[in-house]
Amino acid sequence: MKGIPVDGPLLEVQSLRVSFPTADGIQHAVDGLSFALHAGETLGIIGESGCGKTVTGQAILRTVPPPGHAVAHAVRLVMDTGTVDLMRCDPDGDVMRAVRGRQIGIVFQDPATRLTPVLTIGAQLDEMLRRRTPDPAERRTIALEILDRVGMPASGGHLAAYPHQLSGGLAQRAALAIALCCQPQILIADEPTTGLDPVTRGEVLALIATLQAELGMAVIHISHDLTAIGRVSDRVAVMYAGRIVEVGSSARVLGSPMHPYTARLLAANPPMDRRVERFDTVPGMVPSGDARWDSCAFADRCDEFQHGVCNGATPALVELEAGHAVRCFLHSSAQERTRAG
Amino acid sequence: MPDDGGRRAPVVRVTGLSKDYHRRGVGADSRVRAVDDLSLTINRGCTLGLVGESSCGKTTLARAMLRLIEPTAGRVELAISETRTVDLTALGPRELRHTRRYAQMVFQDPLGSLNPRHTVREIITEPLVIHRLTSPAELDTRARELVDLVGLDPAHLDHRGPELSGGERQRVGIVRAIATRPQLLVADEPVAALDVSVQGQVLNCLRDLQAERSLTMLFISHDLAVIRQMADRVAVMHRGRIVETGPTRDVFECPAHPQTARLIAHS
Repeated sequence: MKGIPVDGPLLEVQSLRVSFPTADGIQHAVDGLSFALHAGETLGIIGESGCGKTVTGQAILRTVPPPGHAVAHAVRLVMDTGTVDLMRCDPDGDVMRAVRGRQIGIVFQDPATRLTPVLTIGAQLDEMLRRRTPDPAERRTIALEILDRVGMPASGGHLAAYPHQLSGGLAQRAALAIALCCQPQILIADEPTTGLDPVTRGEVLALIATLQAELGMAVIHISHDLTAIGRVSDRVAVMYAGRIVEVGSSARVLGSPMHPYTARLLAANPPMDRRVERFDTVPGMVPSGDARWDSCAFADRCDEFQHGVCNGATPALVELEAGHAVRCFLHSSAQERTRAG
Repeated sequence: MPDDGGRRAPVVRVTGLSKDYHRRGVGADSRVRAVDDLSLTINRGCTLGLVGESSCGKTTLARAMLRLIEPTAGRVELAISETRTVDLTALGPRELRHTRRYAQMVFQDPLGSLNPRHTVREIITEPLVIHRLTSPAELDTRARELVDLVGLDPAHLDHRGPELSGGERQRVGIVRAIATRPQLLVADEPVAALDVSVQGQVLNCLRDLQAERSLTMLFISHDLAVIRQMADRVAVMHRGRIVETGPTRDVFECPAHPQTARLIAHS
């Protein structure tokens, strides 16, 4: 594990587990996840549906839908008032209410349905801005300012618009305005560009980057769009079956991946410049049952599976070079094998 | 599926298709022409890729073509067999219902487009029952063949939409669409909601089906990499019109219209 830098991370997640009871028993959507997020950086999280990406964001904000249950050794967030362990806070209490929106903003895929359909963009901005100021006139000024910043000028009358009256790109801009109007330190962007056309996607990504630089915030960018992740991330974490299987700088992880799963995901991304005969797919599915304890979670789908090497234990996340860690037996020596995961 | 310069017979020929929407409450006459006097032809066994920015009219075109919404003007000629061609826009409600089996659609959101209370078996056999294509005794065998065709486990037949993964759901959507052996398949963003790992399964599945059944496809996507892989020809839509069309490779390598260049530059 990496040493904590002098200034320390803004957010530190330690051994996060999120479980859901199902007909087949307890399932762990997130299974022992640890990562740190530093001020100003963008951490990209990639992985297939069902690997625990979205639930990770929900767990940090303590909004995992019941009957889901999140536990962690700690989820430390540095706030103006000091460091708080979010896991020890009441999910409905004042601290968490202050964290959501004020400290950590969030935007989702498909803003048209995530925004409240019965309130205008202005009303939704106003509601969020109550956390910042009690003065309605000031709130209106800030609202117009932030809309202008996300490319929705006052002349457009967007304050009075309802979400359904906006196009996909504009709705995502409005969602960004609502997420950022309280100037959070961290933005969790959960599939923010999925479903947008390439031009709009490019604009939204550029907008997030601009606002990130202006506000100096850190971004957790969750996506299955490898192109988008590659464009915006400083570091990339690849999740599989609720765990990080590879993490490192964007250039290392996406340029020379070491985990077979990362390599397969990248290979499955179709090229623009030529036609392929057959699409690479990652055969099988993310294991739906609980993580197995007698082999690597990816073993069933892995081309490079070696009997006697990849089973018998679960691999640990091992740092192979500075800042680049991989959870794979093929890259770790026998001594590093552990049953602790 | 080589591009053969139009020597193969057209399966669908759209001529002068328009669709107006009326925007309520904003002035007296606030017509929006979503599709504007648009014409296109797709030959048997070929895939036309349709690209364009959001709200350029792609989905409206797809729906108006199949008369899922009523076009304002234009004709849509569909070859329902080697020898018979019908104009979809001229059909009465009853004839239209009977003709639906020849032109089917795959939607973007596989969860929203599958009835959550129906099992996969019910979903994929419903079109066979409605169009009386399979006797009740054979339905189960047919259902198994169909799921096998798209690489799904027969165990999934008794599952409901919400219990399936995204890739599985979309393959159910595809199976439902091809169950009636349509001449034309319109796929509106069929992989936009899917992971790259699963995207390949769905695209391979569509390609295989196309090769086996010389299926003709209109493939709508804003992912140009996917279009590059799937389409023989590509049409670029902008403000309700097609601004550029040609063999996929030519259009990608030497885009002629600024809108095409813009889309490619952002991908």
